[in-house]
Amino acid sequence: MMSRYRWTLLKQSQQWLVTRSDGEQTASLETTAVPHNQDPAACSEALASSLLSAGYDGSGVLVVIDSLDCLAVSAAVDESVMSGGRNAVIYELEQYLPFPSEEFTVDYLEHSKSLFAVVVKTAEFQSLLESLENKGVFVQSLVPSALIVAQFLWEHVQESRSENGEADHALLWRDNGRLECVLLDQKGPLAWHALATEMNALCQMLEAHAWRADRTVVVHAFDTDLMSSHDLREHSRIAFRAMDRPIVAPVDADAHGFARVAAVRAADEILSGKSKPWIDLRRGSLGSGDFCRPVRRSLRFAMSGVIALMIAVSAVFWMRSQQYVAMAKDFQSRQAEAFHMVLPNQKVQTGFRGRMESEYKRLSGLKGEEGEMPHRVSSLISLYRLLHSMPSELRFRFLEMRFEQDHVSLEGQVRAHSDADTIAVALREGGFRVESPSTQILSEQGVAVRMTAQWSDRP
Amino acid sequence: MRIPNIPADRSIRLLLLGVAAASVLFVSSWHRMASSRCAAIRSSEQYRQCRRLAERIRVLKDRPLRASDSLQTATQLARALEEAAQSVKIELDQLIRIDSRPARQIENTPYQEQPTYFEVRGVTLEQLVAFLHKLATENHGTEVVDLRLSSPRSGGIYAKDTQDCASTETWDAEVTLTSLVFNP
Repeated sequence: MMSRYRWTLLKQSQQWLVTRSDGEQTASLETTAVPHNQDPAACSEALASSLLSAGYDGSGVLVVIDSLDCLAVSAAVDESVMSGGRNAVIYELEQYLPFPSEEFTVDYLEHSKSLFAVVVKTAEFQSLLESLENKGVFVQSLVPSALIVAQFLWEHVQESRSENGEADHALLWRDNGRLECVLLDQKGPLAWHALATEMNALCQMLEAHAWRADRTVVVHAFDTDLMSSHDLREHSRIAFRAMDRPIVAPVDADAHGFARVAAVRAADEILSGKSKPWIDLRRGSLGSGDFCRPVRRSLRFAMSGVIALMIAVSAVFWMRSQQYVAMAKDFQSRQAEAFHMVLPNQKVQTGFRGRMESEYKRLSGLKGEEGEMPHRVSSLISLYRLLHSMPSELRFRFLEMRFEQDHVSLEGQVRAHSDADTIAVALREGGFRVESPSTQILSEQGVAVRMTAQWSDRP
Repeated sequence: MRIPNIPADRSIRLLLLGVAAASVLFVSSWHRMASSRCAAIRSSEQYRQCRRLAERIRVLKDRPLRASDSLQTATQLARALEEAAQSVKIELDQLIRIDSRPARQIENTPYQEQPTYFEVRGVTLEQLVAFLHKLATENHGTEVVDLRLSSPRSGGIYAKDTQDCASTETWDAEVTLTSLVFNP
């Protein structure tokens, strides 16, 4: 969620100004002055206290530092250095600076064969920024005042930029008794000068740049008295334009107020995300060390959401698992019910299926359900079939009958050979397969007969 | 002094811990749900199987036994034969021989076969059939697999039947019973 106010800590020569803006052009700019000639802990304490009393809500704060805290370097640099990355550039810049690379923090803009860098001494701001962070102040960016003012004014010279397409431009204004000049081409700042109000020296530098770059420099002066104090006709390659100040209310008319308010307006645009600062020194040793700091609120919100979602889904899982447990219990009780219905005398509490399976196997084995039960034919049935198929009108007798399951062997006596065939026919009609009987006349009366038979419809 | 309600590193760390704890809770509850779901499915499947088994058992219970579940001793067999004989009025001295043979495993089946050989003399066909039928029905899994009936060679085919002769026709029988035993 966007904060209602935007907060800027603006470093002036003698004090810090804590400003709160609601982003409206007409809104009043509230400021609180905090002296900065004290140790960083006390200073940060005072700043945090001022922020809190003004209703600070933890949103990003822009720390805007004075021009005197910065060193600007415009240097011609090989492409190989620039392609070597930030460290290569830092070591390349070291030769232009009065302190080793470990002691400064730099941010830079690359041009085709040069770069524009702004450097601050790390030690001057490190403790303050850490202390502010520890007190809960979210320092979003650390920017030089003049450069964000230039960035703000650059948007207001759009018309002149389009009229002078090939020219370089210089933005000129007064701030706190100094003359601030930022030289730019279409890609951004080329150089930055903060001088005493020596217009002559500045014009010489711009003239030199114009001759070196072989381009005209269009100077946009936001203080008309700057132009009146110098003979402009001396500079053939410099064109001067007097510009109206883009900010009207509620800023007082003096130059000090203009620069301050312009800085706050520029900070407003940066904090609202409308623009990105050309130079941001909140990096390296002056960085927050917390990569997720800018998105901490969103991250916290997202993580809280994830936690809530996980807990909610876990609760759903838990309830669902309870339902599954209840279902399992229900099926268990149904198993018990089915078990006790068919095996009422068995006292089994668990393993119903296994018990029923073994009971089923046992019964299958005992009752011939399983296909592997050996097939046997009762000889009693053979006896019954034999007796049932015997002709009733014929006189005969069997002396011996042998039954081996479905096989029958008969030995007996009949009165004539043909009677044996009659018996054989009767047996065939009774479902036996009978081989031709053998007969033999007996020495007494009658005929002895032997025959064997087998079920023709063997099951 | 610290500005209140400002998220700090600690809050992110706490939230990370919260996310970790919530993840553990999520995974454990998911695992619990998955395992209880498996248990419910397994239980439902077991119930279906139980119902099917119960139905089959119910059907099987109504069927007659075709095998016994234990081997009978020689004494038990002899007693069964004597009781069956007496029930159809066969005198014990007509049961002249009982020979119990050792059980043997029927190849490739879970069954054993226990043969018993016995001889009875001078019984009518009616008595013999009743006797054998009783043995087969009262001793589960028992079948008459071998039966040899022989008649005394008296008279001839032309001999005149008298009333007395018809009613007292007797047979000597050699019987082999086998008892089927289910022994998985």
